[in-house]
Amino acid sequence: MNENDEQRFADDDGNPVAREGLRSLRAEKAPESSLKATLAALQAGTETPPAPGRGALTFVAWMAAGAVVAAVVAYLLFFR
Amino acid sequence: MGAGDGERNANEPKVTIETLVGAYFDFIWRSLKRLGVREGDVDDLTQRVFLTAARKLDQMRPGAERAYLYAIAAREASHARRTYRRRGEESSDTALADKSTGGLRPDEQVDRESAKRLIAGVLDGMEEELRMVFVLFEVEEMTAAEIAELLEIPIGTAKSRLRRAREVFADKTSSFRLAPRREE
Repeated sequence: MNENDEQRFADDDGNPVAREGLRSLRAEKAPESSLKATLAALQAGTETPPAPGRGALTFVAWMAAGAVVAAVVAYLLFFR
Repeated sequence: MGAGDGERNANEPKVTIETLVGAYFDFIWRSLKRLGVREGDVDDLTQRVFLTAARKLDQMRPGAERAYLYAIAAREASHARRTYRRRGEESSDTALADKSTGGLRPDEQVDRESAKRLIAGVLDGMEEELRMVFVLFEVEEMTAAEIAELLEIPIGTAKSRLRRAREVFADKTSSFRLAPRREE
């Protein structure tokens, strides 16, 4: 590498879109709400439960389907 | 440099998790985004990184807290990307790469807002080991020596990855043109 090793895109006269984009990425900050939630979770020593994902919904759907099948089988076996 | 970097003498107070949150929260949040975690999961995973760190605070080598946090973040991001693949969902890599062009041709003039998305898309399309070094250098403004220490790679490797990443980046962005700023 040469003496420009430590020179960044934002400092040189490279592509302006690249400079602008990198500058914007550099300025990105986490939302205040996220920081507060993490500090609260650290104080409580627990993790905020994530919103139910597809896995949880699939599980509930299978449980419901299982209950329906069980009810139908029970009806056919004992009430007919 | 943030809390915990560099030498620390015996009289200095022990680093607390709150200090680390104060010093590195934005860094970990940005890193997760650039490591392919989807926008909607970044907050949760950032929180998980610090909760994990809080449990392992005693294992952290003084002066290496940032590297320790980054290693946890990289593991969490890798796990998240595996989950996305298993579910057949997009990681931010593909999502951003698609959104980044937003129907724009590469040679089309882009405004300043689009520039950020466009560049994020270019980065997310890069090979991971190049992207990590490039982002740490260009976005997090770390030196090659700091990156080498953080990623536990020889400094020569860090520099050669940076050089390759710059070539890829320059090649992919060479045709982008910034639209002139509109007069108010």
